Amino acid sequence: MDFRFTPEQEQFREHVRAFIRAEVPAEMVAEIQAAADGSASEAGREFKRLLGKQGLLGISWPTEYGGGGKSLLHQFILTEELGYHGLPYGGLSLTSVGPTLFRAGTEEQRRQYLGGILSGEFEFALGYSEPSAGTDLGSLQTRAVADGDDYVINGQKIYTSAAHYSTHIWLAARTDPNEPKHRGVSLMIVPLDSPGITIRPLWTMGDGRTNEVFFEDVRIPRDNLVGEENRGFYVVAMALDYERAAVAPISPLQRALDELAQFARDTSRNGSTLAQDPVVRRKLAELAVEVDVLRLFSYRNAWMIENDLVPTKEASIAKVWSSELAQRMSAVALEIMGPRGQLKRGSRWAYLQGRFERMYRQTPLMRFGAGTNEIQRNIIAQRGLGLPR
Amino acid sequence: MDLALTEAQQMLKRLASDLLEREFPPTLAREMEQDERGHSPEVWRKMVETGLVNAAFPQEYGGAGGGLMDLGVIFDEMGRGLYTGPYFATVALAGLALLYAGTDDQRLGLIPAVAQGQALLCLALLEESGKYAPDAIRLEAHARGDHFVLSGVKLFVEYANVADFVLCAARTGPGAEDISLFLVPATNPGVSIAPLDTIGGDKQSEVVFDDAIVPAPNVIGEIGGAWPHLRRALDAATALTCMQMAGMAERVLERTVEYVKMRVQFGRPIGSLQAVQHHCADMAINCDGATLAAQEAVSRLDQGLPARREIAIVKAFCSRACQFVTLTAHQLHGGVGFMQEFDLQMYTRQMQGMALRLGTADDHLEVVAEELLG
Repeated sequence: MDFRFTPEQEQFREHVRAFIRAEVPAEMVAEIQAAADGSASEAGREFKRLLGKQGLLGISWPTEYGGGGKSLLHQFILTEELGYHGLPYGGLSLTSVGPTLFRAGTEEQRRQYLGGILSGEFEFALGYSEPSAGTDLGSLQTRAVADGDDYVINGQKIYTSAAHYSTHIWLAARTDPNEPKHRGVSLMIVPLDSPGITIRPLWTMGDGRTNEVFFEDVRIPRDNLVGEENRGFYVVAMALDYERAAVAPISPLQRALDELAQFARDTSRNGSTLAQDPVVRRKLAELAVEVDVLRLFSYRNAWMIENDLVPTKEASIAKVWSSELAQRMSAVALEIMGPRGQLKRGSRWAYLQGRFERMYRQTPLMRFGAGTNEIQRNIIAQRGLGLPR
Repeated sequence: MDLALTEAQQMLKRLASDLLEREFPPTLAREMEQDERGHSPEVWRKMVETGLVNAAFPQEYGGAGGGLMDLGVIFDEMGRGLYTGPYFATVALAGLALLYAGTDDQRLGLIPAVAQGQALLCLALLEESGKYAPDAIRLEAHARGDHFVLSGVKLFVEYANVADFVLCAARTGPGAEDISLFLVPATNPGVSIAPLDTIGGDKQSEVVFDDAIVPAPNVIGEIGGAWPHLRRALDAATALTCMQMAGMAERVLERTVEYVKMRVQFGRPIGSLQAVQHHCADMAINCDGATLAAQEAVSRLDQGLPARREIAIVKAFCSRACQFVTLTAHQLHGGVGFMQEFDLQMYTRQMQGMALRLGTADDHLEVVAEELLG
């Protein structure tokens, strides 16, 4: 057994670090982090161009589609390093939509979309959730009716993050209302500039923007169907499998812990540093143990994917652990800071530029988003342990 | 990165698992608790024959030349099979201490006998404070002519009651690390051994050295030089204990899943209820974390890499996570799991014993804090 990366992989990590040191100015990082949607900001787009120039976008895509031809572990290392420095990779277009098109898309679709995804010209928003279909996605009601060579789409999606800066929506819509639930749903690609689409902003507690997307007699060619008609859930499941490779990243939490530890070493109270306070030491040590366990869960996912094993229970375990740890960590950080913990970025009294105040507001999403932790625990129990439904 | 066991390790795992299933059924585990010796020479002979006892000793001393990960695999199975007996004391604690600290002649003199099942060992280290630190060792050894005289009290000496030799850590100078290791036959007239009745029902003893006379050649390694070797043996023993705890936790989870699948209330198996499923999921999360962390710590030691941080992390984590698993199992089993005739309570009590030895979660969290904060 060996939990370390190979020397070649470590060399790649060094390569990424060197790139960040040499090519990414501190102002760019600061601007991305300050923006509500880092990757949508001007700095975020500029950074993506830099990644592309380095040949780092689509690092694990096959070379025939213009990718780097490297393993998913390389993508894992890349996103870990970027994440540690507060930098975005390509979002789900690169890590999930693209790879799903390799497998489920038609030749024409691959030709039409993959290049644009890789260059950053195309960005996809995920159109799954609806007001009455969240965890119970099978009850979605947005309709797509075949009409000649077109589908005509009517309905509403919600919490469609990234829709306001994306070019397309990866839409799950009902094509057969007579089939129950999951059957009768199809997956299609809809350009967001199609007539009949209205995007309205929703602002989150974490300062980020998400959206409602309304469809009113929106026409798209039937060629935009991905996979078979009425079998859209297979495509959704496939896309989710690819997402697992990117699930539960460690580096943002490792970074937060490192900053918190630095804060404790630098901050004096009553003549000694916080790092010398036994209560603070205990709290930070507990977080350090939990971050390390997350690292192990996350490495295991990556290793399984690399070896053509599909992490199901394992991915759910990592997701539950990372999201609950993130929430715990931000709460512990604010508690250690005391009254000054409530201060937002911009106040001269705020500790660490209010990053933990913001993290506290952002982290509830991680726990209920991307499959609620309750559903994840069902998956662990039912698919992992074999308990009855 | 390679998170799979080698073929040889998988084979060893099966060997250990088959042997324990055949020779160490839960009924025997239960008998061993009641038994004054807590040791079955018959089982020990079979463990020797199967190659579990000599697995990790070097070949020049009659061992199979395996690494610590081989021992890890065995301890994982011992946890699953609820093995109790002198294996950990003889092979992991005293065996490794002797291997690390002894001169070549000393190793040749004793390890082959251990590997062949002719000698059982124990390590007398802890004292009243219960701390695994050199300055906690107060038992003194004074040079007198060509021998030493040992006086003091050792506690929690595992399987001293059946050991042929006691490896005793004694103070031989005023400096914090002036610690030496003495090989003392259990029959030494100055040594008396009294059982301690503990939560786990395993056999631990108070060992009193009352002017015990030990010849100078019985100093293992150098006078005053034992601590670094002991530390190394304790590190390995800690990581291996975590493998055992993780194995126990995994087995407890499996048995709990079997139970909630067949226990029917309100006309359906309780395992179909989400409240129950979520308890099981949390057990699985803790089991997996414990197993992965233990494997990482053992594999680092096996490869000769620094592992101070990993060992602290795994013991801090396992001590709590595995306890959580057994206590949640009790919640899901209800009354039946609380009964002495049911096996679960043995896992629970032994797990707690392990949580308290080789450093508690508190002790190890302080090491993690040192690594993080200085």
